[in-house]
Amino acid sequence: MHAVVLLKQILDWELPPRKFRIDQETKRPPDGLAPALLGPFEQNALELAIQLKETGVVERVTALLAGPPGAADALRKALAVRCDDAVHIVVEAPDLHDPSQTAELLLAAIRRLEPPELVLAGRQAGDWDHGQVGHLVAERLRWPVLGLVWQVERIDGRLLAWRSGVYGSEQFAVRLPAVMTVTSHSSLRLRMGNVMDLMAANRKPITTWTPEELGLGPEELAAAGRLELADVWVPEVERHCELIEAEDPAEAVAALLDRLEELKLLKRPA
Amino acid sequence: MNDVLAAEATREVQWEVTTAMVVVMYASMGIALLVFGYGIWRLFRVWRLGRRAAVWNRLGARLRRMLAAIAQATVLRRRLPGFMHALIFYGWWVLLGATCVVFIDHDLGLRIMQGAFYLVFQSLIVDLFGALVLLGLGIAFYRRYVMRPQQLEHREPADALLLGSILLIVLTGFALEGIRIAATDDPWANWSPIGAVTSLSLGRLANDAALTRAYPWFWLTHLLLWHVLLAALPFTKFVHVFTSPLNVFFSDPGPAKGVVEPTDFTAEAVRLGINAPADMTWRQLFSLDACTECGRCEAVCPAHAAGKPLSPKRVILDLRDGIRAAGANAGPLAGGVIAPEALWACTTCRACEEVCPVAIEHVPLIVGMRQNLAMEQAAVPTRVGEMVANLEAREHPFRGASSGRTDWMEGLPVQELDSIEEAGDLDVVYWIGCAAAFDERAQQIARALVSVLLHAGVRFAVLASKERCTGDPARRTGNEYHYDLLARSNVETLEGAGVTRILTHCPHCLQQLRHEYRAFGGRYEVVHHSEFVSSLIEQGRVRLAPGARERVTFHDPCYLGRYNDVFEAPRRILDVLPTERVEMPRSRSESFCCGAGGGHAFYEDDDGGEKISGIRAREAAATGATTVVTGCPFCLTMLESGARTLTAEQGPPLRARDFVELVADALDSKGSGPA
Amino acid sequence: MIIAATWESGGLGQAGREVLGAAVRLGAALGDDVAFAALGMAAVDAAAEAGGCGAARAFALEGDYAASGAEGAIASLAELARELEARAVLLAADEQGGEIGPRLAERLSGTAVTHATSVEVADGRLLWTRPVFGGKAFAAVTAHVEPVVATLRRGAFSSAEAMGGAAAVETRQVPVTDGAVELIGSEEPQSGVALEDAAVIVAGGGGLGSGEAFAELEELAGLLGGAVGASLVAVDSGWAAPERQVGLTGKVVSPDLYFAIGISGASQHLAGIGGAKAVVAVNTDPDAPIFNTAKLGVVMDWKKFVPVLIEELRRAAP
Ligand SMILES: Cc1cc2nc3c(=O)[nH]c(=O)nc-3n(C[C@H](O)[C@H](O)[C@H](O)COP(=O)(O)OP(=O)(O)OC[C@H]3O[C@@H](n4cnc5c(N)ncnc54)[C@H](O)[C@@H]3O)c2cc1C
Ligand code: SF4
Ligand code: SF4
Repeated sequence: MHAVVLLKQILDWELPPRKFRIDQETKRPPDGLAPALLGPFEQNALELAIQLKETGVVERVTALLAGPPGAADALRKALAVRCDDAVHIVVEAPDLHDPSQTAELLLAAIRRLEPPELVLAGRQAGDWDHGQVGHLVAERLRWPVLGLVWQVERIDGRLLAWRSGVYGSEQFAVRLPAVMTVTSHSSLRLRMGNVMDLMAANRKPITTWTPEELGLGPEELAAAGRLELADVWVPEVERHCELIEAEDPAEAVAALLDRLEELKLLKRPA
Repeated sequence: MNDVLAAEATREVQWEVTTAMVVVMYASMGIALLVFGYGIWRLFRVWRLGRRAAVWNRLGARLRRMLAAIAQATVLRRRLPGFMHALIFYGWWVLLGATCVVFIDHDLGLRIMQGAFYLVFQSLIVDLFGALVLLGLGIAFYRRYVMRPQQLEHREPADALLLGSILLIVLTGFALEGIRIAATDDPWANWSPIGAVTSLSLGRLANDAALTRAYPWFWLTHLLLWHVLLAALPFTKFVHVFTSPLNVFFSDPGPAKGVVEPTDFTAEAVRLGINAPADMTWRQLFSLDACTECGRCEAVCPAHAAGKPLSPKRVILDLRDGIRAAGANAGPLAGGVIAPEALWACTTCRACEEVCPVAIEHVPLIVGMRQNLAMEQAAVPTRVGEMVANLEAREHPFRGASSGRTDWMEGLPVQELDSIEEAGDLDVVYWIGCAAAFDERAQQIARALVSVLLHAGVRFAVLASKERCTGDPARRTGNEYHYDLLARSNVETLEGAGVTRILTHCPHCLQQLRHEYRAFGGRYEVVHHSEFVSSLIEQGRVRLAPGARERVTFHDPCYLGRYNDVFEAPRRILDVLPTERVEMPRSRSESFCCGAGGGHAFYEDDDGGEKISGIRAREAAATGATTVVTGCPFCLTMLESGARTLTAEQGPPLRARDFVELVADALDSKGSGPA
Repeated sequence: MIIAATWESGGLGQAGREVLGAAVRLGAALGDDVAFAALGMAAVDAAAEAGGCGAARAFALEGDYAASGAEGAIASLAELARELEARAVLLAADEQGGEIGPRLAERLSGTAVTHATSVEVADGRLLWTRPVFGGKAFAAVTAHVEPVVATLRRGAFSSAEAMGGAAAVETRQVPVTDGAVELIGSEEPQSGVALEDAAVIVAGGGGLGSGEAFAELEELAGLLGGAVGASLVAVDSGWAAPERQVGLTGKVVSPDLYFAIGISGASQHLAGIGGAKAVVAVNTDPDAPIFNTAKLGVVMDWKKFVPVLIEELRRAAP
């Protein structure tokens, strides 16, 4: 079975709010504000793909990414943890905001690949935070989709998947071919990869396609657009915190409980 | 005794001994030599498994180190056991010398055992040293079986047997001498005072004839024991009488200490750390056989003291035994013969190496095995993995850091280095390092140092956002590949900016920039801020205002002291400040690690045990100091968190500060230094 | 027509009220009627209640919609939306809403807007606001193609109010799907207070260091009559169950009192606690960003602080 894992590099999500800025011209963070990194849920999806390869559920994994030239780093990483192939749809900045356009690009690429039976995506890319691409890809392929998955096994021709539901974890059997979006889980921390694989990854080829090569020139891409980004702004946050000054835990507890009572936030049981 | 050093003075060798006994003696000697040879060959086979190692450079330094070792310099640092060892050690060599003299005189027929030499050396000196060996053995037995120090808990029967046979050899030696003196009325008896006393006491026990009859049996026992000892030598830790001095000769002669051997990632078959004997150099394999099992390394190891599953001695001995047992196939060493928890517990503080009397280098072995865990097995603690991912992504090791590289200098008139021309006009380039950039506590060190530099009119600039992590935390955790990338890009930046003189407040950056970047073509003059500020003070460029005296104690950072031999500069600074400096019991080269080294600032081992920083903070508080001063941003945060664990009974609240913060506080703001 | 849809288990709950409230106000601005659709077992009750809160029409879509993942819900909502010629379908932005929203929009040839925090009408177009970059910024977006299927963040919209009147509940069956996705089993819903409804939340993060530590938070929460929350790091480390996660990709909560213990205060976490009346932070790092949001802060190791707090509360308790 061939699996495709959809990756994206996003602006370092650990950048603190007070450092965050938006360039009004491009409606994006200015270049060089922070490094671009493989998003955390994409890391989880990649790890799940590799685990499925290790457990024999899939035979081959292709990492597919749409993004600027520099985003190839994420594909190198994918190759370093033993993805078999890497495909880069080179999109010049500014990055795509509209999940419909992103899905269209990825779909065009998926259709050119050896037909996959499983497509894995992160639950949501931590830049625009839409959480749509996996679902749109599935819907346009007319494939079933299951979101927020964190474990997958094979049972008689179908996949058995564990996902996070509203009230707790749920188990679903999913017919193939299918799309799954992956959420974080303690078992899905992206592995480090050994240095041999890391060095080998630097020598492996990455297939690159431009949107035009995929039949999605500016016009076609615009036609696939659904969402318009009207404005982006950074909210003002006022901050004031009253620190409880006490070295001793007992004092600190007493002081805190007093303050909470004064602020009517907590009633100490009599 | 009138003709004091009578020319004819000598004694008869093999007195009263039958030919049969002589034959037996030579036969046993032959066997002993064969067994000895076999034992050495067995060891040699193991040493040959290793890679090549350079051991002939810096010959002078090597010889000096070896002579110092022979003079028992390191051994004697520890009083009682040192004294004990020195007694046995010197005595052993003198007695061995005496045996050689007999061999030369009797077997080679060169009559040297005569006259003054016979009397002074062969009789008097040998006699006295024999007595000293006895004293040493007495202490050894007392320590081993009465005092029972913890580091000697692995009492092996072989040890007792060997100590016992040395004892018997010396005792039978004296008995022989005593009998001979008693029975022959040796005119030179007084040159052998112990022998003379023995002869008197033996004389009381039996008559001359009986003694003379017993003599050959004593003689045979004496020599057979000798042969047993000789044969057993290569099979026991006592082989160290040969391997130790050689190991000291082969060991890293400096001057740079603890530099990790670079990995050649362009090689056809890249060797990723140590996992099999063939991954070690022959001298590393040899060093395992030099261990005397003295346990000093274990006694000073901070990880061991904190109850972590690491003993540097066990690392050496387990490697030795594992490799002896399985030869070339021994392994996996990293994570197998040596447990991963042990390897990850090491702070790379080098306390073990500093104290090891035979110059065994534990840290390169530990880091080598970590390299294998990290690079080949990709098996590292979660936090180490996160740290490396962070280095890869953000080029600094602080996960979740909420600052940028240049935040610390906000509002300070600090110049950024842009061009090579500029570099020429500067006194120094100030290397900030990641701690002061990303750790908000450590930022204060940089701000304090800048205020001192400005006050003293030093012309300096910073690389600002062009700096990357030096790679130290990657290298010390065995992630040499990531280190390699960082080191190369930093050298490129420094070369590109024409930097030659660097100032840093971080001992880890110091070690990298001063020593470890050389392998990547980076050669710079690098000073630690203690050296730099201390010379500014000497030049009268820093004016200090008087202030209230405070009791402080200085914590020597491992990478400043043991790695870079900077012990006095920070103390000189403290001594001109209004401080009363007291020392902790463990200081200077014996300093006890804060717990941060070896990448530990970025990961805690969850294997229980106490916090090393807490132990050190307690020690600092016990001096009565209210501030523990240091010169490393990592020590600073460690000591600060250690101080938070102190309870009221353990002393008044303890602050942790960098000395330059004290200097900055004491600056006389009314006048700055010369313009 | 504007459709508001929910899938709550026990009648019209807080999430449903908020979605309905947003629909009612949007309908008023556009001059459109509001239809309310409730999915699931208790659908009829919820639909009936909605009829009294401004919904012109109320639908109960009955059947086990969850058995097919979101497929049954999507199919029945799509049918309804087509029939009513809906201009917008509003859903709650929870795990289920995230599954339904994008595909429903796609089936209606419309546009999905996820995690909306407000909507206004400008020049006849709907302008949606949603957090981006982990809550560090907000974006205003409009759809080129309608209908819009929007998922609404909890706590961002005020609830619908009872205004009398009633709508007849029309009951329909959720269609049986082809079974491409089939529910095999699920965890029993946790007993105790749901995070979203808790008045007090004791949340732990990466600083806790172990699963055992969460047992202490459990005890503290019990004493305060609250629930336990967690950061993503704590969930990822396996110390807390995923449904305990608070934040951008977890629950959005609005307690009176939120204890953030060993939580650094990343924007993605703060995105879930904007509705808290007061945050109390316990963190060893005085520079942790959580102190920018907290009302009260204690710079201390939780291992020292929490046991004493528990002790004190236990002593005070009868
Ligand atoms: C798209 C996206 C979505 C995300 N969604 C979420 C989300 O929904 N919810 C969420 O929480 N995160 C989310 N994150 C992750 C988020 O960015 C942070 O990584 C995460 O919130 C950090 O969790 P933490 O503060 O618990 O852990 P850490 O960053 O590890 O912080 C631990 C804190 O504990 C303190 N500490 C350590 N030891 C002690 C002690 N002994 N006593 C007291 N304090 C101590 C430390 O000082 C530190 O501040 C998301 C990220 C992305 C990119
Ligand atoms: S370097 Fe320090 S921590 Fe490591 S083994 Fe030696 S003494 Fe122990
Ligand atoms: S390694 Fe050195 S210090 Fe440690 S036991 Fe062996 S000889 Fe002693």
